[in-house]
Amino acid sequence: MPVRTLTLTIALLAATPSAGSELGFVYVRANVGGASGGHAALVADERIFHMQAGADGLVRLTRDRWSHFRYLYADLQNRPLEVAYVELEPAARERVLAEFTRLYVEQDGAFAHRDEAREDVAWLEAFRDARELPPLRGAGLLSADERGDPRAAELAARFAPLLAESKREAAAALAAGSALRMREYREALALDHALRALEGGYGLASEALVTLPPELDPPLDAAARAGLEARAAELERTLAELVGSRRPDRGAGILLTHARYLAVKRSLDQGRLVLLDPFDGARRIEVDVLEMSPRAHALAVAHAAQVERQVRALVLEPTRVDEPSYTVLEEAGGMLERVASARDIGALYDLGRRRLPARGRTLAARAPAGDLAAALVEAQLRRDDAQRALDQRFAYDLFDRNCITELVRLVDEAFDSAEEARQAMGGRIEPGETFGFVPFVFFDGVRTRLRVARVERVPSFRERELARVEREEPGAWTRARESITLSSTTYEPLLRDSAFLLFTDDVFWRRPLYGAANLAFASAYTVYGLGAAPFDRGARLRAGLLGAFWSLPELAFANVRKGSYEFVSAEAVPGPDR
Amino acid sequence: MPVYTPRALLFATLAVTSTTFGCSVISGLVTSVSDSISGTGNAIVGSSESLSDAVGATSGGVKPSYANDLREYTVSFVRSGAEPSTFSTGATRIAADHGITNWETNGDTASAIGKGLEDAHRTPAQAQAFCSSVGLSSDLSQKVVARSD
Repeated sequence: MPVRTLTLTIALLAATPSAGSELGFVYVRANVGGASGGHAALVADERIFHMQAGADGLVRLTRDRWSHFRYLYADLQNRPLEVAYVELEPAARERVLAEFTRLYVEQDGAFAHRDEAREDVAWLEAFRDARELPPLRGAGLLSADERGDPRAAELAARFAPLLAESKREAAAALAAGSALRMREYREALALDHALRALEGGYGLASEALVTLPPELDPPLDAAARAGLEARAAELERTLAELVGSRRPDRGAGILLTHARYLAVKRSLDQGRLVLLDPFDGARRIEVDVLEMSPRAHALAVAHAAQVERQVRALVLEPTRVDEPSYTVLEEAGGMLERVASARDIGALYDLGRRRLPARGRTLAARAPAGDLAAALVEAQLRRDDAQRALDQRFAYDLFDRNCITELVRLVDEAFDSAEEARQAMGGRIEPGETFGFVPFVFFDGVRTRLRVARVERVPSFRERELARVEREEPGAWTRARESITLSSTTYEPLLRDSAFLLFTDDVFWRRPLYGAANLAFASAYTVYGLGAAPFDRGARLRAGLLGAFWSLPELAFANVRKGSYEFVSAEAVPGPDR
Repeated sequence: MPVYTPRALLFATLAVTSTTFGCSVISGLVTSVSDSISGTGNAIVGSSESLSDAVGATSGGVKPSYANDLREYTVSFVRSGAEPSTFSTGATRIAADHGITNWETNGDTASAIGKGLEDAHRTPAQAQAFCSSVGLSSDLSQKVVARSD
């Protein structure tokens, strides 16, 4: 795309996606790395739905914020996005969105069912082998060794008279525990432990807390203190409700609420924020940080600190102390700690997923009643059946079950018939069409066959940076300098992008020539990588080989490789929600 | 679709020669996903506007996704004929994915379950029976039945 027109498209970014009765079909252009053939998604208001294949080989529906998706793909991954907005009746739009929600909930349940069976197997094997039991979720938030906490003692004094019925219930559930019903057994253990912790005045386990660097941990001001006072009162109410509830799985909730109450009270006592670590014991995204440079790390730390400050200000208002918001505050603290201390920027991209702190701990427990060996066999069968069911329904296949095919299928299944789909969307993209699994073929189909009101383009980060640089320093020299990876001021070469010399995404007729230059450069780099292999575990050799591979499509006028970025400050990105 | 054939064939050629062509989780940053990514999404970048959205999302902001999820879960649960005692486990999981510990007293819960029962074409009497069978408290059951009426 010519650079001059970029300024116009940047202005288009100001438009909020999919206002009114529209659905946006998003096409993410190709680039080196995962989803290198391109990607697709559905956007409605601020919500985006897309299918991703995980390391387990299963395709899973992911929900995200549009701003976050755009940040990951258009900025960090440096891929231009195109969004075709299809007009449809509000009822039809809701049907499509409900279909995506239905699949999301269904998948979540299916994965949880498999995970529960896996957990059952792990517990039964531990009982069989007389080994240490797996950690019990939430049991590591509090510690009997910290009984000296006066706030815990106060809480114990207030709650002890309320626990009698729950204690009887927990004791009965434990006594009736069966090896064939391990989930119920774990719930009974958690409830029993939670009540002991409450009655016994257990304090916060120090390992369960976020430790912020002192320079990034300012004292609480009056507004924050008022917000925390309100949160403490709300937590105590929630604790009483949970204790009085008859839900058998409330043990983990009691442990968390108890621990949060103590953390808030300690914050007030110490005048500094004390938070539970939501990443410890929680399921999370693994991130490759091998290539992160000190400069990018410093930028990430500064960004994380700014985010944490903003979240504090937003959450710690007496009028906004709802639990999900407080969870975001815990995430912001955990994120800052990780980014600052461990160079783990993955936490940065996890913020806002609202995970609850759940640090586990191994408890000593007697085996439940029943034939452990038989129960183990039954649990193993259940686990294998659950995994098989997941594989059958969601196993990734490049041609038959990828992000495109599943998006098409889901939209189509929202309607009762092909004709209804046609009427609702102005046309139909049929599941299973020839080449229908190819992202650009799919998007061409959306544009030409559906009732598209408009198409918007979101430039990649480099495109925007290039436009800025050319505005500031117009001229052929600037264009030439920026087209070369080694001299560009808007890009720093990364091994993961593969070795290449010239950008080919913003040229067309010169692309084969540039591709030949890239091929020659990558070949030479491969020789260099061969020599460096004993010292870098073959990282440069791999970059050289991949560089040669991704030069081949360029010889045929096709571009895949665009470069990517380690870190992009959100403030560098224009748009209404940045 | 002949117009696509050359480019599509190029795509297919690259696809079979490269293991990274599929819609895997984006590379470079995220190289793998744990077996059970929590998955509610809604992650935020960190600008004040998106933070504000994320923080305020439950108070009538961007989307009532907890309620939508619980509603769809209720529909699926009713239609699946699953063991009643497992309803609470699923509701707890959905609530946790939205940062909610005690879903029984959350203001959106009764309405979401009630609408789900309505979507599943349950009469008020059947809704009442459902609430009893899955072990909802009497207070929550009353609210659910009122919403599903």
